[in-house]
Amino acid sequence: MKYPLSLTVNDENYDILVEPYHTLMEAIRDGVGLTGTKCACDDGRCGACTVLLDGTLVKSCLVPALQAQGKSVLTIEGLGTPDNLHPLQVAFLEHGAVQCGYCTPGMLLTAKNLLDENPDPTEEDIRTALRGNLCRCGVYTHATQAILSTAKRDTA
Amino acid sequence: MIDCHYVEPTTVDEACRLLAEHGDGGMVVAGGQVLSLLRYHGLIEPSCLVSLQHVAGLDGITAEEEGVKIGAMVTLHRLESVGQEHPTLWALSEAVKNIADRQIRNHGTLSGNICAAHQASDINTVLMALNASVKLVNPNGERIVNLHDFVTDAFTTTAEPGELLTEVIVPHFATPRSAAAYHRFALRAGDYPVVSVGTFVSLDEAGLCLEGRIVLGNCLGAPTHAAEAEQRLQGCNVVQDDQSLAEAANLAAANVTPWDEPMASGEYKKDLVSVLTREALTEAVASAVAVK
Repeated sequence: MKYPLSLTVNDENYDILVEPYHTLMEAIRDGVGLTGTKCACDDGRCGACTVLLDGTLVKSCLVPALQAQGKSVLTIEGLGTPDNLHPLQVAFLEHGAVQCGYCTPGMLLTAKNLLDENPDPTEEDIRTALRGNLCRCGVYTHATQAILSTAKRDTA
Repeated sequence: MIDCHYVEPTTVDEACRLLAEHGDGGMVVAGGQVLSLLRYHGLIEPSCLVSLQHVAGLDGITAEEEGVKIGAMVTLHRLESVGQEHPTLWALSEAVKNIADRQIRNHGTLSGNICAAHQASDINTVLMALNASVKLVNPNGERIVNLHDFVTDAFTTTAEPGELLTEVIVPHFATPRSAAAYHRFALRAGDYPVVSVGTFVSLDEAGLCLEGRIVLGNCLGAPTHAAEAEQRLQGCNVVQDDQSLAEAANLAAANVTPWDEPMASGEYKKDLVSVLTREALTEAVASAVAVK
């Protein structure tokens, strides 16, 4: 049985229909039609589907869609635009912190959440924050440096 | 596929009534972190999901006469810092910090982790070492059950249909020189532990052990007390005689037959039990001695 779900994604309101067991990731990708939120492992290990739900970092493949009723979601499409990239996106490009790119949307939202909470993180803080975001290409070192450089630029 | 319904009660009574109505097909959704997984792997087929998201009064953490009471919907992320305000829960906070990752701890809840009853649950292991109980509410009343009698096997609890876990009660330490500790070994950061050990000791002024608890995680279907090892500690001066801790650790290993896993044999786990028990006992004794 499908239920109506009203939610805000990147400041736009959406009214879609979801099954009770659908996840927030399915709602975002299939209902709203934004596919920047990636589905990789689909069982909560890899973090490619990471989004901010009412400002809280979550793996959208593990959150029941209907628990997002009335809430606000930030996905990678809301972080920056191709013409106006977020500073973290610029830093990821500058540091070559992208290979296949599949983990990148989740990593960027984790990085944004980290810098919102802690504008001046240590390298160790960044490594700890990225624990829930796996990258099979192994860009961790570049991603860490990219986040560090963004923080330094912001706090300088 | 069964047609599945979704309901959002706002009171505990309403939630219990809905769960009772749906019997075995009714399933509680707290943070959904385990439920989404089980559904994805086709292991469950609920006829009704009862979300606790809007049930009032399930997110408190309060110190009362019986102990510190933690609401069912308190997230794992909140538990990371709870030990600072409630020293009884210090070992719980330390245990939670190693669970999965920040994203999962942000949405995952205390009651969800307990009721999923994973055999390697860090929370169930450390809470049993703290002698915690759970409050179960049903349409006709409520009961308080020791966690040891609630989580009885892998993915198995003694909750009846229509019963809802509303809070966890961690009793205050009976004597001042008491402390708990939790040690785990995992193959990867954020993974379930291969073996974990929760310990608790209470000491008198001279350093004699009044009570010792040792709980082994991921050895059997549910976390289990190492009874012989606990008895070994009783009445020993564990401050002056650290040999007693080593002997208790060896007894804990000798008297358990852990299940084999592809990445860790039962024999290997026995070695881990010995090492982790000694480490966790040593830490608990040092913390208890340091209590002013």
